Amino acid sequence: MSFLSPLAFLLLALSVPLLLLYFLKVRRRERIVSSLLLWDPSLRDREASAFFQRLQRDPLLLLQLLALLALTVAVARPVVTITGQGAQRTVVILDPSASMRATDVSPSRFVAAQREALALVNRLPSGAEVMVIEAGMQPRVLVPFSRDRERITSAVKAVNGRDLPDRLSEAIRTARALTAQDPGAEIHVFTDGAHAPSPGDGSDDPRLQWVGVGRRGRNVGITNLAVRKAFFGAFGYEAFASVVNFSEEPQSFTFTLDLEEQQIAEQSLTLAPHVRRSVVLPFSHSGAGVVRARLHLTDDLSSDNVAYAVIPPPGQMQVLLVSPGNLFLEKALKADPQVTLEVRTPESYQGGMEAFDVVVLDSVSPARIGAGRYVLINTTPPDVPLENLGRLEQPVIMDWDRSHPIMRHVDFSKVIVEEGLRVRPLAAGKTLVEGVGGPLIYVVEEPRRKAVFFGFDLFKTDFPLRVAFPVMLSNGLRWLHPAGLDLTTFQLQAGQPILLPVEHGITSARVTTPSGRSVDAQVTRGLASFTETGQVGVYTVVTARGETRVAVNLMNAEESDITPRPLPTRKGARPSEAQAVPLQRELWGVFVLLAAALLVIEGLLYWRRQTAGRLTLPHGTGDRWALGLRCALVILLLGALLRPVVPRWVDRLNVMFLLDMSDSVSLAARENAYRFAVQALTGMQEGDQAGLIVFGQEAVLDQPLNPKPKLERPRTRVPGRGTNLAQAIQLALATLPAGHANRLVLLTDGRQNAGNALAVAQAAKDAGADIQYVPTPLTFLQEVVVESMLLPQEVKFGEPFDAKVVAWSQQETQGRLSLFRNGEFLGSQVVRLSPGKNVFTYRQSLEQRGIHVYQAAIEVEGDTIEENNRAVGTVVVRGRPQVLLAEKDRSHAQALGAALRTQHIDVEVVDPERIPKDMAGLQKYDGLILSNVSSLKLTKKQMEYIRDYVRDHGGGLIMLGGEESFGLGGYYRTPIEEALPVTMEVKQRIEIPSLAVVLSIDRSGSMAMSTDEKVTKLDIAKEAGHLVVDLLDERNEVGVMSWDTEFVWDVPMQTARNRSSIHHSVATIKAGGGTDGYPALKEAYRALFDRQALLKHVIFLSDGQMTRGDFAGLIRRMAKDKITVSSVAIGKDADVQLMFDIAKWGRGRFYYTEDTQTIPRIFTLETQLASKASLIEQPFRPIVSSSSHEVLQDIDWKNSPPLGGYVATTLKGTAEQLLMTHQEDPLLATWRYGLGRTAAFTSDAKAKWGVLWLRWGAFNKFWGQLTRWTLRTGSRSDTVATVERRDGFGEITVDAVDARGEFINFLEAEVGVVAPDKQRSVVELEQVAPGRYRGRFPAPEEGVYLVGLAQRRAERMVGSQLAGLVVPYAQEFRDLGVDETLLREVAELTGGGAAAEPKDAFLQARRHSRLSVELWPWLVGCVAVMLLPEIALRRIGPGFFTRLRGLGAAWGTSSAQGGRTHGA
Amino acid sequence: MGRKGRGCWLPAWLGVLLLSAALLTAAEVPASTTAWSLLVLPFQPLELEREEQWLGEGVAHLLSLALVNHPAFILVDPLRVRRLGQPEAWGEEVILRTARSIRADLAFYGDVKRVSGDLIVVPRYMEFKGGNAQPRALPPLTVPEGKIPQRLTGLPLAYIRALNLPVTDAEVTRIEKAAMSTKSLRAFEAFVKGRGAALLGTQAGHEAAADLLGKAVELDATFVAAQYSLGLAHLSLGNRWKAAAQFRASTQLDPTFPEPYKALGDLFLAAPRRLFDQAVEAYQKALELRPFYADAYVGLGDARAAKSDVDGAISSYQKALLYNPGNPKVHMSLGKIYFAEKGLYYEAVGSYKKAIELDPQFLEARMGLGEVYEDKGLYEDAIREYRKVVELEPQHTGALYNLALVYERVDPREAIAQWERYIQIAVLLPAEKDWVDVARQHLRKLKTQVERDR
Repeated sequence: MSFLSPLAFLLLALSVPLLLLYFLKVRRRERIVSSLLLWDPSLRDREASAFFQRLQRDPLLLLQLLALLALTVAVARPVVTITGQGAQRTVVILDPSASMRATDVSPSRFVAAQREALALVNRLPSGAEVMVIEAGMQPRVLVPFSRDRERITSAVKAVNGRDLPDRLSEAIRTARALTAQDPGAEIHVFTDGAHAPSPGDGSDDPRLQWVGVGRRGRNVGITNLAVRKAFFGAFGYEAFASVVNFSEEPQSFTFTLDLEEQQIAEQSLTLAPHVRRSVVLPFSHSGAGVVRARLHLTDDLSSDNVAYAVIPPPGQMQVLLVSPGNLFLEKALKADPQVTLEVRTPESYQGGMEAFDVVVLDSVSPARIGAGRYVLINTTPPDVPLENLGRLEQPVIMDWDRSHPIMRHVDFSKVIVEEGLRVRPLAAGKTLVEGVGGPLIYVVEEPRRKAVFFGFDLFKTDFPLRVAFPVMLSNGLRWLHPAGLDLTTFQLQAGQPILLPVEHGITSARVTTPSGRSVDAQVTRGLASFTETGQVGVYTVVTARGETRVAVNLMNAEESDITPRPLPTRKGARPSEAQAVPLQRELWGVFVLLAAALLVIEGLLYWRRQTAGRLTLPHGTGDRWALGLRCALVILLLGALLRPVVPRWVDRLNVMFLLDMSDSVSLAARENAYRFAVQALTGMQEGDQAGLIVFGQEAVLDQPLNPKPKLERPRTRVPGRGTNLAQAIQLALATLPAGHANRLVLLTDGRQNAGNALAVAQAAKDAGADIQYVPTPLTFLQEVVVESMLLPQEVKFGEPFDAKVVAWSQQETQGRLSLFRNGEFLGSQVVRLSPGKNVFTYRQSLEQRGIHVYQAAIEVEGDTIEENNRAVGTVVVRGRPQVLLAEKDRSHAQALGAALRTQHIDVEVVDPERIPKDMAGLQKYDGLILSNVSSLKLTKKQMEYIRDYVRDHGGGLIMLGGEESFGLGGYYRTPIEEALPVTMEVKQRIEIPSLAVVLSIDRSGSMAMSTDEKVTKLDIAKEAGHLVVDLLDERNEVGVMSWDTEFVWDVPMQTARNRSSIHHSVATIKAGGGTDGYPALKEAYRALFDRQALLKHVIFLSDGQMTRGDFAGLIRRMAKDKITVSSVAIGKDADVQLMFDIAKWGRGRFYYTEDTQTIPRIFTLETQLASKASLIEQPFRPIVSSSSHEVLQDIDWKNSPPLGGYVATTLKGTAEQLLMTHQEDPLLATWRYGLGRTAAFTSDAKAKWGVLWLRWGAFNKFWGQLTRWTLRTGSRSDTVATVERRDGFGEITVDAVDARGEFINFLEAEVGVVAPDKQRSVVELEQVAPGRYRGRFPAPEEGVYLVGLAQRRAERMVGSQLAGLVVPYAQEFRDLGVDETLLREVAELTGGGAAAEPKDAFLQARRHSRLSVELWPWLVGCVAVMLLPEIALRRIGPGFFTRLRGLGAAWGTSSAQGGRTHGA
Repeated sequence: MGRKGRGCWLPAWLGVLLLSAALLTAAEVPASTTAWSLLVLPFQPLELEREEQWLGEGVAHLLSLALVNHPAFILVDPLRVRRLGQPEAWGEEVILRTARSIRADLAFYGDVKRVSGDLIVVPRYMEFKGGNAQPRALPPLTVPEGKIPQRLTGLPLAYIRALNLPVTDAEVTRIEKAAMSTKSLRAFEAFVKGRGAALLGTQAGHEAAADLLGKAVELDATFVAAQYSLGLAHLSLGNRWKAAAQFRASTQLDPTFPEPYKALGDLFLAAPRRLFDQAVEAYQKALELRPFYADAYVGLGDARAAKSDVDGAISSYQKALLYNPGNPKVHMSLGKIYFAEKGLYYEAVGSYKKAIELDPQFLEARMGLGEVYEDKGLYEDAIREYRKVVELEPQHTGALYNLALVYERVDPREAIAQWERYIQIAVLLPAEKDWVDVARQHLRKLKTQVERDR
C-alpha cells in the first residue's frame, strides 16, 4: 500500500491536544442540592486541588485516537496496486433516437438499452476501459475511456431518450475515429435496429457489436404536417398532413387538427398495414397561431402522434426607398405583399434608419448611413466598409453564389451589366455575384450593420428586366430583416437547431421549451440560436421585441417505422482476450467508513455514560453541543463518501490542432501547417494540453490530448478526395474534455465539400470551445481549374445564348480550351489565362428540343492537377415558343407571321375577336402581339387579363402601330397602356388645332329601349354627349343635335365654354318619334362647313334603325370637305353594319357599345383621333438610340429602309428607347413589366408603313429577336421543378400551383433519372406540403444525371420538365485557394478568429478551464480537525473560554494560597 | 425484310398520292388560255328591207344569249362596243380595230341576206393572234321564212364546232335552250330592238327599251331573256321594285337561267336597305347555275366587300379574274377595295390602271383613280383623271364636282369656274339637288376667299 498524499499524516498532530484535554480534570457538573453545608470541606478540597489530573485510562480516548488515525490515513489517500484483468477498451454507444422511446418493451426501449449497457459494463473485467457516447444530433462523449465504473454507470444512467431522428452513423464514425489505433477495442451499439443502415456507418468494422432491444413495430405516425398560405385570399391557408400505418395490422383512429387549441377538423381514418394517407385541409385564419395535428390512438410510439406547425404573425416590412426616381425598384418593392414602401427623394434623406426596417439607397450617397439594414444600389456611402476604386466597363459576370439565401431561385447566366462600380470589401461579408474585376453584388455583415450592395446602376443593366430581380430583392429584404420569414423557418425537425434571425439591436433571447423549461439562447450575428431541440413541441423564443414560436416535430418516416430490423452480427473473429494490467485502487473510502464507525461508537458510549444508559439527552449543555457536533461530523464523513466536487477555474487550455490533409492542400502547405502546430507548442503553459486530428474526406484522431506533446508528423492517412471540416470539428469536440477551456485550431484551406462546418461550429460554441484558423494557401507552381460551365437552365428553340467557361489560373499562362456538346467535339482554341478567374464565352443556339450536355476541357502545360481541367453543364431546350399574333386584318399579318416562323417561333394569327378572353387561354402562349388591334375590340376585363398575363405570369407583349393602335386604338389609360413602355399621350409639338364637333344623337323611339344595364340607349348617348363636352376646352366648338324624323339643335354650334348649360341641354333630350338620320347629318355638314375650326368632326350616335338615305354619298363628300364622321352604334339590336359603314365612309371611327363603361374609352380616343396628333404619316429612317440592346444586334441599321409612318407616343420614364423616329418619337421601346417584358413598335410590319421593310434582309431577324426578347422565359406548366445536389443525393422539388393560385395536391408525379452510366431509375415523389412534392435519388458519380419529370392528375398532364443535374469532378480539385470567408465565419461564430502567429494558438484570448475539485479530502480533514473542539466541549463544557480565563485566575489564587499555606 | 420494304414504299406512295392530288387540283381550274374574249358583232344585213334590218342584230343577240353558256367564251360587254362608236358597217378592218381596242381574241360576225324569200345567214369569224387575223367563214345557213328564230338555234353550235371546241351534252342543251328562248318572231324583234335601245344608255333609250321589252314580254310571256332584260331596263330607269319583279318572274319561268339571279344580287347590293346577305345569296345561286359566271363573281365580291368581308371579296374578285382576266370591272372593284379597305395605295392605283387599260372609257375606274390621287394629294393626276371623265362624258356631275373640289386645292379661280359649271349642269338634275347646295356653299366660300386675297 502506498499513499498518494503522505503529507496528510500531519493531521496526526491533532492527537496531542486531544491527549492534553484528557490531562485536564473533567469539569464538575452543576447539581442543585438542598444544602452545601456538609460538602464544604470537600468543595474546598476540590478548589484547592490541581487543574490537571493524571491521564486516566479512558476507552473513549482510545476510540477517539483511532478515529483520528483513520481520518488521517484516509486523507493520505492510501492505494493498493492490484492486477486488473481484461485490459480492453470498450465503447458504449447509446441510441437516444425517438424510436427508442417506443413502449413495446417495458418501460421503454431506451430504458431496456440502458439496462443492457449497464449489464455490459458490469460484466466487463476490471481492467476494461469504457467510453460512453450518446448518439444525439451531434455525437457526445459522455465519458472518455475510463475504468471508473461509477462514473461510467452514472453517465449511462444520465442519458435520456429524446425525440431525435437516428444519428447512429455519426456516433459510430466518432467512436471509430477515437479508437482508430486500437484493433482490440469493442464498440457496442445499443439500439432498437429501427433505422436504415446508411453507407459509411462502418457496419463492416469487426469491432462493432450491435445490441437490439425492440420487439415489434405497432405504430401509426404523422410523417408530415405542412401549412402553406394560399396564393389567393388574405386569410386562406392549407394544411397538409401525411399519416402512415407502420404496423402489421390495420389501424383505425381519429385525426384532428387544432388551431390555437380549437379543433378545426376531425377525420376518422382506417389505414391498412403500411399504407400512407395524406389529407389536405383548407382553413381560414388571420394573425398568428399554432396548428396541431393529432392522432387519437394508443400505439407504441407517442412522439409522432402529434405534429405542430406555426403560422407566423402577418408582419409588414417598412421599407424606405431613397431614389432620384426608379420605377423598376419601386414596382419590384411594391410587388412584395409584405412590404410597405415609402419613397423619398435624396434631398429629404440624411442617413440612418429612422423607423424603417430596411432602407434602400438607389444611387444616393449620404455622408453617413450608420447602423442598420440597407440595400445599397450603385452607391458606397463613406461609412460602409467598401472601398470604391472606380468603374468597371462592361464587367462580365463570372460566377454567383447559389447557396446564399439571397440567391435562391436567382439565375445570372443571361444578365448583362454595362457599367459597374469597382469596389474592394474592407470587412466581413460575402460576394454573391462576381464579375471580372471585382464583386458586383456583395453582402456586408457587420455586428451592427447588414447591407446588400449592388455595384451597378439599374439603368445600365438588363437585370431589372429579369425575373431574378424582384426575386432577389425579396430574398434580400428577408435576409436583412427577419420579419417576413416564410413558414418553413418556424417548423423544424427534432434536433435541428433553432436559428432565428432577430431584429437589429437584440442581444439576448430566452427560449421556453415544450416542457416549460426556460433557457437562455445565444444571440450572435443577428441570429438567436438554440440547439437543444430534442423534444417535440412548440418552443417559444422571447426577445425584447416580442416572441416567436417554433414548432419542432419528429416527422420522420424512418424513425416512425419502429419495426426492429435484424442487426448485423459480429464479423470476423472475436479479438483475443486482453492482457492483465496493474491497477491502483484507492482505499480512502474504507478508512473514512472506519473513522465514521469509530466516531459513532465513541459517541454512543459517551452518551450512555452521561445519561446512565437512559435514552434522554445529556443533562449538560456542553454535552448536548458535543453530541450535536458529533452527529454533524459523522454526516459530513458519510457525505464525503459521495465524493462531492466543487468547480475551480484554472488557467489551463486544451488545444486540438486540426490538420487538413485533403488533396486541395499541397504537401508543402501541409508541412507548413504541421510546423505551425509544432511552433505553437512553444506557447504552452502549465496545465495546457494539445492534440492532433488529421482530416480529409474523414477525420481521424492522430495524437490525443497530451499535457506534454511532441506532435510528431501525422502517421494516419486519410482519404483526401474531400474536405469534411464538420467531421473534424465534431471529432475534436468529442475528444476534448467537457467543461475545459478548449480550442480548435483549423489548419486548412477551408474548402469544405462535405458536411456543414457552420452547424458544427454552432455546437462548438454551445460546448464552449472556440475555433482559430490558420489558412493554408495554395503552393502549387501552376494550376488551372475549369471551375464551371455556365449555361442558362433553359433556352428557347433556336434562341442564342452564351456558354461561359469559367477557368481559374494560378499564373499567367495559355492553354487549349475545347468545347464538346453531347459528346461531340465543337471546336477548340488557344486561350490566354490571367491569374485569377477567366471567362470564355461562346455563343450557341440549339434547334433540338431536350437536354443538351456541354463539356469544356482545358489543356495547360505544367498544370498540377489534371482532374480539375474539365467542366460539364446542361441546358434544356424547350419546344418552339408559341406566340399569338392578333391583327385587325389577318391577311396583313402574313409577313410578320412568316418572319417569325423563319425564326423558329410558332405563330398563331387570329382576328382581334379571337384573343383569349381568360387567363387560361393566354397562358397557352409565350407572347402576344397586338397589331393594329383597337382597344374597343377588347373588353376591359380582357385588357386586365393581358396586363396580368405580362405582369404576373411573365408573358411577352408587343404592340405594333397602325391606325387602330396605341392612342388611336383607344388605349389611353387602359390596363394595356400600363403594361406598355410608352404612354398614349403625344408630345405637344404643335398647338392642338381647333376642333368643331357636332354630336348627332338619335332620339327616336327605338332609343328609349333599355339595354341590359337598365339604362336606355338614349341615356348612353347622352352620357357620351356629356363626356364629349367635358373633353373639349374653350378653344373648341361643340354643337349637339338630336333627331327623330326631324332634327333639332339642342345646343347650337358654340364654343365649349358654358359647359353647364350645354350639359343641361343634353340632359333634357327626350326620346320619341320616327327616325331619319340623313337630314340631320346633312345639317351637321352644313353647320360644320362654314366653321373656321381646322378639324371638324361629327359623332353620330344611333342604333342605326332608321330610314335610309344616300349616307355613302353624303358622308364621302363630307370627308372630302375634311369633315370626319365617327359613329357609335348603341345597343345589341343596332344596325352595326350601317353604323360601321358610316364611320368608314366618314373616315372616322366606329364604336359599338352596350353599356356606359365603354363610353369614356370611346371619347378619349375620339378626341385623340379628331386632333389627329397621333398619326404621323411621313417617311423616315429609324434612328438607333440603344445599339447595345440584344434586340438590335447583328443588324445593319445604317442601311435599314425607311418606314412610311407611325403612331406618336411618349416614352415612359424607365422604359428604354431602342429606335426612334425622325421626330424623336419612340419607334421601338422596351421595358420589363412585372415578370414579363413588353415592347412597343409604333410603326407597322406590313405593306402599309413597313412596305419596304418587308423586302429588307434583316426583317425576319429583327422581328425574331424582338419577339424572342419579350417571350416568357419560364415554362407554362403549372408545376415548377428544381433539382439540386445535397449530401451526395439529387433532391427534386416540385411546386404545383394552378393558374388561379391554388395548390395542386395529390398529383401523380413520375420522375425518371438516367445516371451517367446510363442506368435508369424511377424516383417516387412524395407530397410534403400543399402543392409541394419532394424526392431524392443517389447521385454519387461524377457526370450528368438527366432527370425527366411529369405530373399528372386524373390522366391529365399537369406539367413536365427536363433537367440535368451535374455532378462535377471531385469538388476537392475545383475549389483551390483559401475560403477565408467560411473560416472567418466559423471562427467568429465561436468567438475565435485567425491565428496570426503560432504562439497565438495558446496565448491569444486564453480562457480558464473549469475543473472539478473533489471535496472529500477537505471534508475528512475538517472532521479530523473538528474532533478536537468537540472533545473539548465535552471535557470543558460550553463556557470553555470563560473557564479557561477562570482557570488562569484560579491558578494564580491557588499559587498564592499555596505559598501562604507553606509559610504557615 | 417485309417490314423494311413497306417502310420504304410508304413515302413513295405518299408522294404519288400528293402528286395525284396536286394534278387533280390543277385539273379543276380551267385553263385561262382556253377562254376567249369574244366580240359578237351585229351581222351585216345585206339587201334587207328597212323593217328587217334588225335581223342582223337579232342574230348577234341570239348568239350572245347562247354562247354565254359555254365556258370557252367571255363575251365582250356590248356597251363597251357601243362606246367605241357605231360604225356604218362592220367591215373586217373596223372589226380588227375594234377587237384590238377591246382586246378581243375572237369576233363573230357575218352577213344576213334574203335569197328567194329565205334568209341566208353567212356566219364568219376572225381569230386575232399577234395583231393579225384571218377571216373565216362557216357554211351559209338558210332559214326559211317563218322559221326565224327557230332555225337559227343551230348557229351557236356551228361556231363551236368550227372552232373545234369541246362541248358537253349539258352545254349543248343549255346553248340550244338559250338560243331558242322564244318562238315568236315579233317578240324576238321587240326584244332585239329593246336591247338596242337600252344600249344607248340614255334616259330615252331606257324608256324605249322598257316599252319594247314590255311588248316582247307581252307577245311571249315565256320569253325569259326578255323578262330579264325588261328588269334591267326598269332598273336603269330607277324602278327597283319593277326590276325586282321582272327578275323574280324570269327566275320563276326558268330557274336555270343565272342572269336574273345575278341581276337580283346587283339590285340587293344597291338597295338602300343594304340587303347584302340576300345579294350574296343571289350571286351564289347564279354561280351555282353557271360556275364560270365571272360577273357574278364580281358581284359576289362587291357584296362581300360591302359586308366588310374584305378577304372574301378579294377571293371572289380573283375567281372572277380567273374566268375573265380581261374584265375591267374586277380590276376596278379590286382597286376600290385595296384603297378603301386595305389602304394599299400602290395596289389600288395598279388595279384602277389595269381597269382603264382594259377599258379606257371605263369612267368609274377613272373616277376611282382620280379619288385615290386626290386623297394622296396628287392633285394634278387627279385633275387629269377627272378631266378625262368629263371629256368622255361632259355631263358627269360626279367628275365635275370632284374636279371643282380638287381645283379648290390648287387653283381657287378655276375651282370657281368648275363649281359654276357643275351647278349649271346639276341644278337640272333632281338627284344632285343636295349637292348643288353644297356646291353653292363652296362657291360662296371661294369667292369670299378670292375677294379677300385680292
